[in-house]
Amino acid sequence: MYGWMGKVLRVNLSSDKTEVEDTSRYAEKFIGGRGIATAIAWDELHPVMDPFTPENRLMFMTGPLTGTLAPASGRTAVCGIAPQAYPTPWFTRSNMGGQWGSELKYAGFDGVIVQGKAENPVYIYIHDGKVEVNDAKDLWGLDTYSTQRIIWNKHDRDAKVACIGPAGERLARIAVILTETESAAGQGGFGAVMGSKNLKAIAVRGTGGVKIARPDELMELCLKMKGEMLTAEHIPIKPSLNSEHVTLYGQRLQNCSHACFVQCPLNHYYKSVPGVVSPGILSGQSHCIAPVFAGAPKTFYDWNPGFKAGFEAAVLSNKYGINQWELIIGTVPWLRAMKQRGVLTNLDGMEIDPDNPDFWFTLIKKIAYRDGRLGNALAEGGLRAADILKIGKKEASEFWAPYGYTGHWDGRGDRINPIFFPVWIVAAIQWATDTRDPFSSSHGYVAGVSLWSNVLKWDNIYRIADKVYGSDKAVNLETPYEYKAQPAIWHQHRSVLKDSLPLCDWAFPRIYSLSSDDHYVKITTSKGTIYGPSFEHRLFTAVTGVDLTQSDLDRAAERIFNLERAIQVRSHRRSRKEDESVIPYFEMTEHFVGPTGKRENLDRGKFMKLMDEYYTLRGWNKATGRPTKEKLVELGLGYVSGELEKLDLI
Amino acid sequence: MQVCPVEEAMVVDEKTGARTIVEDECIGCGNCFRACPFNTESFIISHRPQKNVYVKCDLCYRRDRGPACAEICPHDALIYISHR
Repeated sequence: MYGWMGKVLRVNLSSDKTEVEDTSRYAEKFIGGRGIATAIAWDELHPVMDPFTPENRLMFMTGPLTGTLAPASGRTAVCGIAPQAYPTPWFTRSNMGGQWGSELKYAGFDGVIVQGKAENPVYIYIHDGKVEVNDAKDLWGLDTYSTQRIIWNKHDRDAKVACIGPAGERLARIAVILTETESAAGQGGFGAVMGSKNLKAIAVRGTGGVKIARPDELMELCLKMKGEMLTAEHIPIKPSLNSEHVTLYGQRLQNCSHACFVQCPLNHYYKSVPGVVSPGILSGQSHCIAPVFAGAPKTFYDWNPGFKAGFEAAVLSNKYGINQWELIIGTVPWLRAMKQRGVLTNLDGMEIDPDNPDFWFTLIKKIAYRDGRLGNALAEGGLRAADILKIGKKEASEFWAPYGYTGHWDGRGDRINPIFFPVWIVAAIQWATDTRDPFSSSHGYVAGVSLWSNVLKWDNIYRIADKVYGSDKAVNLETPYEYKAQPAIWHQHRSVLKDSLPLCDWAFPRIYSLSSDDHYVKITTSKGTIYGPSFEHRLFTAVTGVDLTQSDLDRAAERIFNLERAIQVRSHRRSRKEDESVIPYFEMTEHFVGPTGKRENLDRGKFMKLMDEYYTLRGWNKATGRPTKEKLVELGLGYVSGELEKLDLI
Repeated sequence: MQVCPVEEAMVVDEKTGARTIVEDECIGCGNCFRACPFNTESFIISHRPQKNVYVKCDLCYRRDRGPACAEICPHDALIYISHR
């Protein structure tokens, strides 16, 4: 087998048994990462179970491209029943970068499935095909940075460690699994699942390699893509350094995943930042939402504790293992709104004031240690906290969309990413039909169109959209409620591919370009011109030698997406009714003013027609929103439709 | 090169200027591994237990376009310059 290592490791912590399974059982049908995890979830995560029962599977899955030269491929999907989902925890996915996934493959495995529960705290050490489950008494209670350091000292300085902090140990539903300084599987709360299994860390060390089917072709593709991929797909600006931060804090650019060619403009590493609340020098990566701990002037998040205190809070949340997105977009704005409306003014004596560095320190510590009634409630995530405390339900609904996730590229709860009407209509369809916030892997349409419209003329975007989606109506400002289901589905499939191959969500799919003459991504190789949307397919075939066509690969993505839906239907009776629960959220007026010159909100009637179109295009029943027998059989999921039929859910 | 007991096992490659280990000649003594002052974490020379030989970077002397690492580096942090 090329690309895949051929082995998936299964560790049962209850019985201390490890088994090795064959990847080829799943590989061609479900690719890897999210795809293989979904296939396993259908087989094993049933009947409905609590995320904290030992029977829940915590799956770390890489894909065929992980550990290869393929651009930004060094990622790992983390899947299982997610405690963060509200009100019912259900199966979903998260994803992390860093070097962990690549190292796992060099150690000989495509993935690790953890099940059961250890009697006492343990950590798993995997090195070149060997597996040890070791006692973690001395690691339990430590922060994520210390945990990594101690494991390095014990075993190997080159080991890559994915671990949890105090928040995960205390089953906080917003706890992350973290590797290195800032790469984390955040959304879903999988840190708590790890904690529930008494598993502190998984360390991996490998000296092997990934076999490539056509190395020369891969090398040529990567070299050509290197020239094209100087900007992140969704951020059409080149990265820069802040000269003051370079001098004072040792700021430099750094990538977050193995094999990444792209330098995301928001991605920096700081070598030495003096602590404000606690003594000492802090260092670490700052990416994505982390800079907003220090506030973002002239936006909704206009608090200002200062750069140093903001960085300290970001590092603290990483060390304690708390989801930064949840804190910044959810918890803190919610607390601030409650204070403004006089519902809650302080946290057990600490005034709610994001300008004050001590406030951040207190808040993060309270959540991580479930300190007091408030800390205990906030660790459950915003919507559950509102239920427990019986306050701020209305305020919470402004920041959290249904299913328990804070706003994310939707123009409502997320008030930092500039998305405007009609771009968020596609977001609304994706929110409606997903199992979490769709945008850890589906920034594609919404971020791409929103941000590139600042750089490119709309005519260019229309022209390129016509090529990619089959009609310029997909992005046309004049046709807000037409042809939106098509790009929503296209990007949902690309999102599945990105999580399964895997490739970085910010780098792919490649559509718009600064370097090509007509702004449509293309490269010229010895085999001819390749356009951006074909990059994933070309990388997959060069690495694996499996000659699936582009449409076969898209079909695989569709199969995975349908299987995810089938899991929802079987375990949670998911139907169109639940999908529509996002409508009131999108009926709130948008935060940003777009090209129409005024703030818009969702037109329910027109949106329902789009949803009809979505289900029809998917081959699902329009009334129930469930996959039909014909669709499942066509996708090679006959066994799935058989089981749904028995349950009368099809 | 000074500590290698086998004359043909470590040679200077004419084209790239790299000191290279000839796998078929290496007897696996590890002298080079221990003598190299830059080798603190096996970055330069490392052991392959399967064959009991030591390997080190040969700057891709078989490759027409020079070292692949320098070619793929996206930000010119790594560049290849002639030893002359």
